[in-house]
Amino acid sequence: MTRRALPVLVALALAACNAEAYDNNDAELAVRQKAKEMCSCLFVMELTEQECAAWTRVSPNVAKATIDRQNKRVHAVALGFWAADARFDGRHGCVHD
Amino acid sequence: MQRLVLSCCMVASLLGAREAAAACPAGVTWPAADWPEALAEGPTVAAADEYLFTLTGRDEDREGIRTDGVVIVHRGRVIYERYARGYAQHNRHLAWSVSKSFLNAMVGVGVGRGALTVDDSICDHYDADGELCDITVGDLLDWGSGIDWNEGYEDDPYYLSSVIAMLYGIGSGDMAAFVAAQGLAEAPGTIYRYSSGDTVLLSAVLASALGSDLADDYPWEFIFDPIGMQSAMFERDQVGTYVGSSYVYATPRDLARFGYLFLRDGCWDGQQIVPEGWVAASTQPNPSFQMGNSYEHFLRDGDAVPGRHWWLNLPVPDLAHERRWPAAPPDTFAGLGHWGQTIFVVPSADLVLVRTADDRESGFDQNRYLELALTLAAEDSP
Repeated sequence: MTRRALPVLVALALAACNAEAYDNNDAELAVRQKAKEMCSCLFVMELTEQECAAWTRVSPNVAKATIDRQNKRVHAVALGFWAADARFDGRHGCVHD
Repeated sequence: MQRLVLSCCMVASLLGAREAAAACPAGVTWPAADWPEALAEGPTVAAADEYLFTLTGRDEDREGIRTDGVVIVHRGRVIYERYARGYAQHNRHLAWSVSKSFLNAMVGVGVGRGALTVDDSICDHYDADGELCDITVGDLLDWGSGIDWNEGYEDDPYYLSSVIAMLYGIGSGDMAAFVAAQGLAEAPGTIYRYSSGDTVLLSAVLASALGSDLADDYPWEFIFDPIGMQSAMFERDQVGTYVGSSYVYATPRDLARFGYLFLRDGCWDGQQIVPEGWVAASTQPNPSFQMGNSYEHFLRDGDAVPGRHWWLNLPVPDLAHERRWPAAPPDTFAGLGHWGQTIFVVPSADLVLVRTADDRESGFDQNRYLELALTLAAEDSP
């Protein structure tokens, strides 16, 4: 098994396991959590990227964030498939796009 | 019928509290632009520093006690203040479920302005129908809606958690609609079940009751601005409903202002911000809890006794349950949030405690913290 194939299989397994109750899989939840909470940590709590990486780390730690400081936005992706965005909105903090 | 009796008791209690409540207190210290300081010194301070701010586990593994900030206010002056782990006085901190106590206050102001009452059906204000119309504003304040809900966090399977689905999953666009769509598991007002969903639905009900002129601005107009919480931010979902369950941010000094508002019975510098009697009514065991059908949830959660979006330090004799914080007086009440966020209010000691943290484990001893703070207050010379 290649290193590239493993995350995909993990994601598929997660999605299959999570077919009941709420219609979200862990990777999808993780990427939306990362986008929103990283945005809030950076632009509301005003911590560093390193501190915010620690604050927003969840298990499975599959989401990676890209930060647009100029526009106060965070884009997160997981396993090359799931993606989410959040933006800062003044006193209303951050919200998913 | 039982519910009616309890409802009447609550009304009588509220009226009684109103009669008993004094006008806004005179001769007390109020923070203006910033808090007055009378910083404590000595061995109790050293003991507090050691307990609150000594990392007891591997920080990178998020183990042990991980305090980010503490502000202790006694008789209207800051007597203890520390920050750690990258935080400073200017950093806002996520309040998590302490936000629920803020929403309580905002509903109180809305009630005071006549926009809604605790006995209103949610359908008087919010676009719901059917069995949901049996839910009252008071039921939501009591976490007693009966709506089917799983308040699981990161230690539980994500896919079963209603709150994770609401915050990050299929419910995150319109969170209140997601909550309403869960349907009832029990009759409203008959059982207490802690639920972020109830709080978010309450937030939407309040916004609808206030109307479009106030729906965006009410947190600032009602609470944040009158008490000088300049750092406050309050996040919304994608349709603009304030996430009252979870997403108030403020500096610890500003969070202490909110605790101080409740310490002073809803008054701020001579002005009644939260209606007379609201604080007293919110800090009694809530009617849904008193129905006695929810003790299983209560024992499992190990929580303090639920008031109306506040937590109480009262015993439950039926369960041989002692006070949650035995070192603190029974009039102590608290806003409690995930990962160790707390605002404690101790009226009989004229004391407000704010702690922000990132406790991913449950090892922090709130009782010891209260004990240290009460000792600091006792040592604070008049």
